[in-house]
Amino acid sequence: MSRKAEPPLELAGPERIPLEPLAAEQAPPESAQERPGPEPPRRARLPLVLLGLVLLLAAGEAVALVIQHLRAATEADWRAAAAGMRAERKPGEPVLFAPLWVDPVGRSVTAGDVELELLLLSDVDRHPRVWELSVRGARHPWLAALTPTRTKRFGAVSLALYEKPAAEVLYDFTRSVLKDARVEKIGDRLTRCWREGKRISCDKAQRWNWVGPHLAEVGHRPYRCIYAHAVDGHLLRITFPAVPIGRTLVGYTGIDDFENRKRSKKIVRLEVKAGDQILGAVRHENDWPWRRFSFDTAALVGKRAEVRFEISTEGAYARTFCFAAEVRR
Amino acid sequence: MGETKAGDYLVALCLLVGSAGALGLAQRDVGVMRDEATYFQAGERYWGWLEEALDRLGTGGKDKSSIVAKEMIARYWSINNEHPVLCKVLFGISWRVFHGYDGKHPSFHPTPYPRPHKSLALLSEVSAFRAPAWLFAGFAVALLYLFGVRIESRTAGLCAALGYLTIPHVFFHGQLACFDSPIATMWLLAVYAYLRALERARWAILAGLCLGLALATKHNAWFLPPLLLLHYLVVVWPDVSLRPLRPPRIALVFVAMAILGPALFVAHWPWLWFDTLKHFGEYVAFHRHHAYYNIEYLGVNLGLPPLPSSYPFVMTLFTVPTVTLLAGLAGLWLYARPQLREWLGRIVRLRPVPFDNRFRYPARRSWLRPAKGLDPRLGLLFVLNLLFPLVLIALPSTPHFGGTKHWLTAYPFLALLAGVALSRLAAAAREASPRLGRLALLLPLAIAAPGALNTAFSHPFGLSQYNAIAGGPAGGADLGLVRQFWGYASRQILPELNARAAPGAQVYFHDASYDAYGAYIRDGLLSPTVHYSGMERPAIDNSTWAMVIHELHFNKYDYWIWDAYGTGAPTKVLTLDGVPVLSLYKRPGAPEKDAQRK
Repeated sequence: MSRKAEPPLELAGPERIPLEPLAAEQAPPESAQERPGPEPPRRARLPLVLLGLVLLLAAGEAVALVIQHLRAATEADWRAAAAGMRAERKPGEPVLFAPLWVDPVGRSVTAGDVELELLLLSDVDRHPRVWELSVRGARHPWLAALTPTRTKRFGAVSLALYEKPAAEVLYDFTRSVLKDARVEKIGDRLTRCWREGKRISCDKAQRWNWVGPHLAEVGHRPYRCIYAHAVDGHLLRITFPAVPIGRTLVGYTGIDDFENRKRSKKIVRLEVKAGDQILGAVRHENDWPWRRFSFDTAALVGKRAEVRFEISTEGAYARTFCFAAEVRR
Repeated sequence: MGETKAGDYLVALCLLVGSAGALGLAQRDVGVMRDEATYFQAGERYWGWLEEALDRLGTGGKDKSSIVAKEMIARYWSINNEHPVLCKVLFGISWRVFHGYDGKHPSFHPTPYPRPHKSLALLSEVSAFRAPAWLFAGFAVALLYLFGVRIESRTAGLCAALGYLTIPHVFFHGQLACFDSPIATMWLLAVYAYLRALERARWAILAGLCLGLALATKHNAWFLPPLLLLHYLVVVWPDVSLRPLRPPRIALVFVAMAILGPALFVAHWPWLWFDTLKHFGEYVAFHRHHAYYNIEYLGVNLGLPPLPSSYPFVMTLFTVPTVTLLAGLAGLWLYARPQLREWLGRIVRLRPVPFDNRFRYPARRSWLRPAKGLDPRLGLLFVLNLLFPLVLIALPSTPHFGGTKHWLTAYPFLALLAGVALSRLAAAAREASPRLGRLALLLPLAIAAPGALNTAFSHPFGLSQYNAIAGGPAGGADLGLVRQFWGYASRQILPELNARAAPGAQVYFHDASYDAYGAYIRDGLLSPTVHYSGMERPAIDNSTWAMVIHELHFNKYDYWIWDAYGTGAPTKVLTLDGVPVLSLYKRPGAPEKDAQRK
């Protein structure tokens, strides 16, 4: 790229015809010539205005970046907020973090305060007091409709307490599955599943075919649930005997692990029965997040009944179905 | 168009050295990417072949021919054979020259060495591998300056050079021993050579060689000739249309590209020296059927097609400094305006564009100088090269893994357009008011400052960077945009592990690969008494420490650790402006270094 050897990248040849300026450019209107003054014409000022705007934009962007950087919550803010919460929180009260992406920081600063089970909730309906640590004015989706009783700021971190009526849980299927449940696989013949450690296994060869408590990732969030992988050509039945019945049976369904949600699109069906009565059914679609269902059990209130959850699908591959359920008064 | 003078080359050299130096200094804090670690291994292995070849040639033994024997080549060159090897060979040579085998940790090297190497020992192991990448990036900065000077002015060149370097993702990738920054450089170089070749025969040969080097850098370059051909056809069309019965001869630049490009590509890659069609077919198949990785976009984990076409445009909007982006769009407008007015004038009544075309037809052009006397249509050239990489990724079936690095080749042209716009603004401002117009001297600073600040604030987690419009890293997290990939954030947790993990501790390194773990040990960043526990759930179950690198789809690893350790509380969380990038867990009851000492 030697300069001497190369002309510039000027593609007009020596035969270029010098063009005369347009007449209009050559001879501006007389009126324009007769308007001398200290102010340059508006059009001439435009480059200066644009230059100012560019410099202002750059300065504004730089200042915005500095502000965004300085306004970020510090570890000291988080620790102060956690200490503020610790002073008033009672054991067993859930702590939520908002926005959801800040969750690891929240869990880190509340280490030792919040039991693992409280990080795996499907909702906070059964809790009368819920704490929230948040940044950037965010609100946890479960608390969106509520007004905090108290709030306090610790630098960039907000601590809020929400108090609300709590649902009374008569029976938690998820917690009772290992203790109470009987599991059967019903196809051409009936297979009784057996307790094996912390699982109820249904097939010695196919180790994925089991039922039991599980920590599932559904919609990239954690939930405690009953793992019940659907089985091709079979109905997987989980029976809970003598369950006290309240007014509603509330539950959630999901398919564990995003990889499995990529591997198959098949729907999983969950049917819930109390005694001989069908309480309801859910057809859980692959892309659904952790999805709530609620069945009315008012007709059976005060009684005890055998509650059955029956899981089926048209294609069991990668259908790592998981559900949580409880009876509420 | 302006000329380049000796002083310009000096400025370009300063830009090259300054940029490479800045990248080299900054990269010391940046963790080892998954891909990088593989390229370290490959580079070292390829060096092994070169060393053996040099030995055999030097000793004058009888077995010189065996260095190109199939078995010999397969032994050294089969590793990472889905990518051409130019960069990896340079990484390997640089490693050998600046660091080499120091006699430590032989099991982490892909090749056994009988004795330590004698080397310059100027750089750490990781830095030695990375050094060529800084030069690639620095060369792009220098070339942008010269390009800008040629097409417009020094202001344009300086603004383009600084604007490019301070795009935070450009700076981030410029530090790494990967191919994304080098291919952006080689793409720019090939385009520059092509543009020069439109009127100089010598540059046609150089353009062919540049294309070959670009092909040897990364597969993106295969798309370049069709783009340039399209541009060329538009350039010659006004002339050709006057002589419809005399079709244009094939220009030398395309002949050179067609011959020298593939020839250099095959020549540089010993893996293609035998079973050429089979190996080339495997190379093509790898990229045609690339796996769909997971990447977060607007709060959704993308992993399967159809993928949203807006992705590259939105990511560009939220990662490139706004001033650079707007200046680039202004440059686009400046080039497009006359053409748009002409097209619009055919539809609606507009004031005619003043006739200022310097080019006349028929032009004096030949197959050696195929566009001599014709308008080179710089705007079109820049637009094609700016938009094509983005549009390619925007196709619903193109995997979106890897974020902005896949359209890094677009950014030099964005910077050029921005440089042209700011240069013309500076000229117009000086003309309007010589006194106030002096403020235009601040324009290079204006285009560089926001990006430089953004880069500094997001260092060393450059992939988590978002610009002021997005709200910074926290704004990016609010928007649900990709946090990171490649597992490189593990670098910043190593001091914690060195200080606390008891000797023999099994550590689950999550997305940091085994080769990256090995690179940390080789580099002295991680104690060799810290062990790599493996991958996936069994590795977590067997570990006493575990890390999770935060990406949306990686949340499940968090939950696996909770399940295995019985706690959801990390012992340490690394953050960038409050946004978690990595969590480290310690299994309750696992011994710590200090406890053991007591």
